[in-house]
Amino acid sequence: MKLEFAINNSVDPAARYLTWSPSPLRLRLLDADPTGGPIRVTLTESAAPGGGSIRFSTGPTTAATATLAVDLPSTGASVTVFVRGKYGSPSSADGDVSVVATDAAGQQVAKVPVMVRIRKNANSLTVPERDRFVSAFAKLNNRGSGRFRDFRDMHVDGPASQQAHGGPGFLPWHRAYTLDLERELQAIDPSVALPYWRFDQKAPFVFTRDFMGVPDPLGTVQFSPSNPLQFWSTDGAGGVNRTPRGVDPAVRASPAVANEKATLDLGTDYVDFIGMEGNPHGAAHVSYFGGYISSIPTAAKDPLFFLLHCNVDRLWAKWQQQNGRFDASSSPSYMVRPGGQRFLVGHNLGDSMWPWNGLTTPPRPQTAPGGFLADSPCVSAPGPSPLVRDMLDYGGTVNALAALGFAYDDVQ
Amino acid sequence: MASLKTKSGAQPATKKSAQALQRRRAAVRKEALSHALDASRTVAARVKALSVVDVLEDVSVFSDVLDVLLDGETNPLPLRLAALECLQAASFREQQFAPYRRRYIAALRRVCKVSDLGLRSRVIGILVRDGDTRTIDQLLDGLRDPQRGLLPPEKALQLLVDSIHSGVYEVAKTIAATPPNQAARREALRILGGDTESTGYFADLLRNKSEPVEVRQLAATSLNQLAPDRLLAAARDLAMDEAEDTDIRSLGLTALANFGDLSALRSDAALQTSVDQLSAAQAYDGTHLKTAAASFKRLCGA
Repeated sequence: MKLEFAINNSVDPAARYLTWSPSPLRLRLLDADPTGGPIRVTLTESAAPGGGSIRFSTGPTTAATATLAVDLPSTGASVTVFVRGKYGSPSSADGDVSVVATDAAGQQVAKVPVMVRIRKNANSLTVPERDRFVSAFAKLNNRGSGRFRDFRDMHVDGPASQQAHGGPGFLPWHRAYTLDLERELQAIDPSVALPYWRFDQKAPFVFTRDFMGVPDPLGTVQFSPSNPLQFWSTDGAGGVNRTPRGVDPAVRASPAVANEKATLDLGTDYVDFIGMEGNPHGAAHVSYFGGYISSIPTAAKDPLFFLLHCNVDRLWAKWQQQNGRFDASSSPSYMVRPGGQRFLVGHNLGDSMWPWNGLTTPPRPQTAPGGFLADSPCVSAPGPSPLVRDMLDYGGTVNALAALGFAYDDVQ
Repeated sequence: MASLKTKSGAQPATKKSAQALQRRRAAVRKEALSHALDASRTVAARVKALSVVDVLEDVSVFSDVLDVLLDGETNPLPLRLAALECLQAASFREQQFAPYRRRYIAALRRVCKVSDLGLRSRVIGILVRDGDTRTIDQLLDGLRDPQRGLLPPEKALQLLVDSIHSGVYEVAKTIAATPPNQAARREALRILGGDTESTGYFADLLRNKSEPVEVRQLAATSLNQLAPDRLLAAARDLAMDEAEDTDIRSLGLTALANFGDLSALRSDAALQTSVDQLSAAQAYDGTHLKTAAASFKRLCGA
């Protein structure tokens, strides 16, 4: 018996990456006698110890189970079911869990390795996960040239900063920004997901020379000779300026940074939650270190910046899940000004977002580095030039087609 | 996923209770500001209070916190640093901060002259990263004439890494040649990492076994920027040189593994054999070299 699997609507192995959200799994027989009746196969998983785990369901909203019986037409017509990562069991390596199909006699007839690819706490990564991430990041940086240069140039002062900060669009813009970067990393190594820095907890594993580096007393970050981030460059100069400010995040959390509970308790409406831009977001930027990360025009020169913003996004995702705020048409999910007034362009739900929209007329900045937002072989959303509203339903809760292809290890 | 299509997963707060919560929070922030300004309280208590204050709540709040930063006569240093941190965090809210920016920058320029090196260094760093040409020129003047220096040369150079132009290269070359200390030399070399005229200099530094590892690492990074092919050629030689420092061999392997041509590396039999031997050698257990060899095999193994 020969089966064809298409995960995320593709037979391409590049599409075999799952999150906690249901992904379509299309099966069809390639060699059955077309005059025969349907043939039953049972889907299960084969998982490496400590690896990912998956579940199956007949529909995107039906209960997910460890096994699923599927009757496949002998005509070769396809049947679509759904597969997703089992919450709490992310993969730690590519292909550490497989979709297995067995026939009525219990014989394996097909096996396809997949990965439950989830954004994790940087402090909890395994050594191989860390190493894959820093390698992909160093390659993306590529001497500060190439595609990373665009990410650096997107996060600068002036009109560019106004597109990304100080308004309700702060969270959607940075979600798009980190997603764009993550997809570029995945184009280098598809097993990589952007990790987050829990800046309200000590992170001894993160602040080592083998990972995000350790600043010397002057504030120049030191990396080990086997860490590819030692080659990190931006704006024609190597290295990272990150001056210690008295609270070592490897040892303790800064009391000036609001913790997760306080952040989630800001309020159940977006108009209250967006205050997190000040604290913990702004506080995390300035409480631990001076140097690049402590100023808007230079923050993106420090690789730690992207882990900081991954945590900002995770807090938003957790708040959304806690309060059911995925639906852009529901007013507590975002901010709308009364009386038809608008926020600065780029901050309203129906606005496209710079730079991915390529717009350079005022009040947009005069250049739009980077072009379109990177696509993904796993999902079609948010598209090359997303609107603000496209960034809310990241898990496809309201509309399955809106899923952005990422999830967090502690947000179901 | 939980709470799939419910409008609200949590207990919905009524508009009234949400407004009451916001009023309570505003009251807490107001009280915190009062505590922060209260000289009868301990410094630690005042610093803690400042962390709760929202300087963008009202122009008077901003002014009060700015005054804490500016007034070195009555305010202890930790409190001034906390005020600076409060203001700097607020600056990330670009649109709301815009009306206050000019006053903020003016205040930072005044604080540039304080006697405390830590505070001085912080505000100068903020100004340089903000592109303040006046401050950048002052740092350059200080490097040319140490009597006029606002900061130690190594710190001034480190900050100027963010403002590289021909004038900075000239100063960096002078200091790299006759450095007042090793940290200054290192930062001068970082600046020169973008100077195409320094390519040969970095190529020589990288191969110079008498140089510290830190300097050779920096040379490798700079050469990677200026002439990546030359770095990769040197990296291969360094990785295979059994007389070379193990950290430098690690650096070489790491450069090759992450930036080299994959098919060329896989077909390089001599290099592959060398890495296999490294991986098997117990003498290197626990070293960066072993780690680098493992990464190389993972990424580029034949």
